[in-house]
Amino acid sequence: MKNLFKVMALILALSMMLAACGNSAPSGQGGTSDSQASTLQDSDGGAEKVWKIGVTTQAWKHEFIKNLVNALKATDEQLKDVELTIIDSDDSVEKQLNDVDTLIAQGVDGIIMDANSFEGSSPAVEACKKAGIPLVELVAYTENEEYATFVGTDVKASGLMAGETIAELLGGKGKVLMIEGMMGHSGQVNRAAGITEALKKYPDIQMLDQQSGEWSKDKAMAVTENWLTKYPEIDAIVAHNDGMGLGAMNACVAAGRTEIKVVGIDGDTEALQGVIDGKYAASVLDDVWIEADLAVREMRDILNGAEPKKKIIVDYVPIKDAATAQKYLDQRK
Amino acid sequence: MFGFKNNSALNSDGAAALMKEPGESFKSYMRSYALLVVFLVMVIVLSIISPTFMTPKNIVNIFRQISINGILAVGMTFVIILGGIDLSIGSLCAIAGVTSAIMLERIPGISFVAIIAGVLACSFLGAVVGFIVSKFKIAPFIATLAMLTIARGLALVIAEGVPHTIKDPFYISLGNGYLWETSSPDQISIPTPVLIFVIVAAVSMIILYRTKFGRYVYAVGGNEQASRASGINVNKVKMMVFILNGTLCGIAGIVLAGRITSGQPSAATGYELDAIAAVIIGGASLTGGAGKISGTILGALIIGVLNNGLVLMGVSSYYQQIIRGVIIAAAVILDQRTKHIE
Amino acid sequence: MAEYVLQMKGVSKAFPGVKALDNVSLNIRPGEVHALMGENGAGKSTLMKILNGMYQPDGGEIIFNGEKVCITSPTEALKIGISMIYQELNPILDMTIAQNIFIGREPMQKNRLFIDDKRLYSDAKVLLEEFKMPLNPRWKMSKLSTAQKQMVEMIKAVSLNSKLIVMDEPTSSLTEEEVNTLFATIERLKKENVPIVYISHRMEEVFMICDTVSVLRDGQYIGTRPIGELDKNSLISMMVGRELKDIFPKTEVQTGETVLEVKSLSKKGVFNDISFKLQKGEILGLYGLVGAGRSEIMRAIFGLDSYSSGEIILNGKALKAKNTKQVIENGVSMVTEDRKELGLVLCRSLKENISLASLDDCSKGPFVKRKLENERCVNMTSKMRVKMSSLKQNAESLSGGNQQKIVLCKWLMKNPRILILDEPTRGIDVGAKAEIYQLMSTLASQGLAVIMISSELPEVIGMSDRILVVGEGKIKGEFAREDISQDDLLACALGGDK
Repeated sequence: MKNLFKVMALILALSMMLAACGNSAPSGQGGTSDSQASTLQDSDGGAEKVWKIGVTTQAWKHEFIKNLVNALKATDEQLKDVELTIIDSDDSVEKQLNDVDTLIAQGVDGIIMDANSFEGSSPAVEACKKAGIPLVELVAYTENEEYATFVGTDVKASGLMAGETIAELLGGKGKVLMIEGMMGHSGQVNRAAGITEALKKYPDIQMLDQQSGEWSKDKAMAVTENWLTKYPEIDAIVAHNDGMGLGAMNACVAAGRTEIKVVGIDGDTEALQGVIDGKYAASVLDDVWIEADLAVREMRDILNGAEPKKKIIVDYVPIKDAATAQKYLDQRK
Repeated sequence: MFGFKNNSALNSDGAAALMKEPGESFKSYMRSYALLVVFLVMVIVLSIISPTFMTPKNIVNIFRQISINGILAVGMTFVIILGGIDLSIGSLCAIAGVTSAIMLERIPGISFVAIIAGVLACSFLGAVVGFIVSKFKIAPFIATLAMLTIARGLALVIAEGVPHTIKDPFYISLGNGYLWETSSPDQISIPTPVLIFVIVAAVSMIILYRTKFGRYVYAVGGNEQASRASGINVNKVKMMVFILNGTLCGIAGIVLAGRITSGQPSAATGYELDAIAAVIIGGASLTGGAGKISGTILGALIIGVLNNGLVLMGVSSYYQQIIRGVIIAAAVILDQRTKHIE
Repeated sequence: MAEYVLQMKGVSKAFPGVKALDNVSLNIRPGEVHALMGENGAGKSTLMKILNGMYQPDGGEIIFNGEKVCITSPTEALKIGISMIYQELNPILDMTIAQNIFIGREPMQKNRLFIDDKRLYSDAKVLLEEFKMPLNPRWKMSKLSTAQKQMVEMIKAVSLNSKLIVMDEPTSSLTEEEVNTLFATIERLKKENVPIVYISHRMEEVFMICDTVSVLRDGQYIGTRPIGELDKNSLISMMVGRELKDIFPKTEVQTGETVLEVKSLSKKGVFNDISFKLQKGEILGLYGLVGAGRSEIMRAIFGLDSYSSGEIILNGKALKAKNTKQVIENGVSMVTEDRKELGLVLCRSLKENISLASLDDCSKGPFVKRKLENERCVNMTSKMRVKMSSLKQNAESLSGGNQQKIVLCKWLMKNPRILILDEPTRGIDVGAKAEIYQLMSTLASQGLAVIMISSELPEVIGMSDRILVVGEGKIKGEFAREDISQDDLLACALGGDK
């Protein structure tokens, strides 16, 4: 019996710890908690209503999404009249749908969703409509278009820009390889289309091969290693994201094939550093800082009674020189 | 035939006393309590911390959220009682989703047929695993590890690598529907996945506790050699368990596809781990021969409540993973410790 | 030197429901080979487990080398110089002989970080040569025969400076030649003045190499005699303590028609050309040494193992069963030798164990009729007088004798026509033994045909109508109840001219 009580005490202690984490963790990471929010509200004299906004994103383990989350948190701190609860869907569509339900049950005023799946995340749109709260989609959108506003980029444009950048770097002539994202993912489909379309204009650029790196750095590295032995002559590699691009770069450096120009998409920190160091040819930056800021502001405006803008498209930024790269890098500090 | 009628040494004086079975021992009460205690402590703590937690709407949400893992965990319970493990269930779910979604895409309106076909595809793959395990004496861990990647690859091949949207309202209702429609968002209804989970659990309980097959599952898991020597067709039992498990994966896969309104080749990745966790928290032994559906349901509930509570409290996703692991370990330790109370 | 190396005085030990040892004494002199004898369950192994520190005695004292000692664990026993060599050895098969000998106390290099392999192997070589063992210390243990493994264990014991070595049934799985090598090693140890406690059921060996015999019976100390004062019969009567017919309630039964006929059944390398008949109401004893092939023959008949040629005729029809299930359906049941491996599902309830083989008989379609099942189990367990608190308790919670009764319950529920019992009384106490003998006798008188495999001579002689002696996978002889003598049986089993 004694043991049972000991273990029960342990469980209780754990639960308390869990509770403690619940209150401290988000604030430690720049988020806000209930208590903080209420004190803020009090200090403002309760003049302005604080909108509770739930945010569900793709998995934080991807650097791009982590940047997005950091941008959202920065916006959260900046705007006194909104309070964000940001949830990691961990790449599970089902979890994202469940999280949206939980947020609705919690009584948030609006939801910002970075959709995990074009088709799969659609029921969340339905759920928000049924609950009568506005939904702003951010970065990735759903098949069901009954959301208020989409804030993000035209994914295909990133492909087009990456393709153009390659062509420019190669002077319109050379042998190119493409590392694709997770097959079937909307990012993969659209970026592949964009890149292919851009390169079509340059008959002297030859696409040797294209393989999936499944959005992962080490998979991309393995793919590149295979190519390096297979193709004696490679001028450039274009990857659907910077994680994979960096993997390709590492493989090229390890094999001493530094003449190969690697271009990626997203503008990850390491990629920008690579551009500064001259190892990474270029990155097409998806400016999540602007997107996050616009999305939160759009949601606030809708909640304050403004008409939804339906679509806000943010342009990509090509990062080809150290100065531009440094500018965006500094922004993240 | 042998009645011992004339034998004084073997009389039946103890019969009357034995007819009245003594109740469950204190020990076994403690065992079933331990898990309940964990669960209740979690519920109490969460309802103190989060005012939303105990709202009817959130409770309905929790039940819907555990349904898919619950169905998978019930199937996994059979496999683990048998002394095996199944790592391929997530991939099987994906197969059910893409198979049925593509059938519907080609011939719209045959949702019922497509759904059955999706489930049967999983039953078949379960049978393949069962065949490999029983005929070639390959450890289930290895056979299902192979099936994990084979089925995932098959799903990608069938779907040609892309998700396929499901537009059929009946199919979608399996994942997103309710038993009765509500007119306002504040009214409560029972989600269809919960109903499916309850039916699956009830039927599985009947199979496991009331049928010969259920007994044989326990016996084979507890001691395969002794079961064979008692005239049980061990291979058949193994085969049936994997077919049953495959079928449940198919059902879960259909519910999932309905929920995410699409057949996705990458769906349910890593779901096997949550299912295994639910079964283990529920007190089943990985060495086989022991385990209960009720324990598994409680295990799935503990995981579901935890996930829901952590989201409600806005705990950072990084901390969530740590807390989840700690709770799983603590629940199992508690369960183990109470086994030794004397 | 003191008169005794070891004195165990008035040692008692009780387990729940059983008094395993009651005021037992054992005195061992330096340099003697001391046989410890008694029937199964007499308390030999309990006594040795106390000596080994695995059990703590409830009363009595142990004096070792003139000092009163309290042995709390096998490691402690090893430290003060008591080594045990068990029936089932557990050397680490993937390690070399030398590594096994010096495990846990490997000679280290000067830096104390790495094992000094050179010294390890040279030390081992010296030891092996000392005992005239033609083995290379670099061989893996897995290459050795059982006897060689045993020898290595003995060398390990000697190298540990053991002052007493206990050997539990060391020859049970050895060939004759290996036995001789073992005995030579024992002689050499004797010369080094290391006493040996030798536990064996084999009379011949005891008379051959032992100096003194102590006998236990039902947990009681019976006496110690120099071997010269005893002959086989007097030793047996010390061990058994009563006339055979008292414990074996065999009634004469008129045997009926042939229910089983086995015609030149063979399995390559295991058994060869086995033919016999079994009649209704008959108890057929199958005697032989361990490893003679008795269990293997029965396992083949029961469908647990395959056989290469021959024919099994059951109730006049040739049996063409593919698996055990079909054999069982033809009215054959088998209580296997190993309860834990093959008899019971230990982690499940008594009820589930009892009804396991006969669920078909108490179910409707796929569903078990639980009330009927419960009634049948309650009936069966009360008839068999199983000591238990509930049918829901796990099989592992019962004692050996009651576990065996559960296995019997399981098979009797099948209403078999032929019951094969493989060492039915191994490891169970005398009371339960007597009940099982009574049951066998009753069942046979009701017309059941019984085959009993046994290594215990008194049991085979006491219970069988007819005895087949099996040796080296062949039937070496057949004895009718009237003309059975212990010596003849043993001689026949050993395959020798006596």
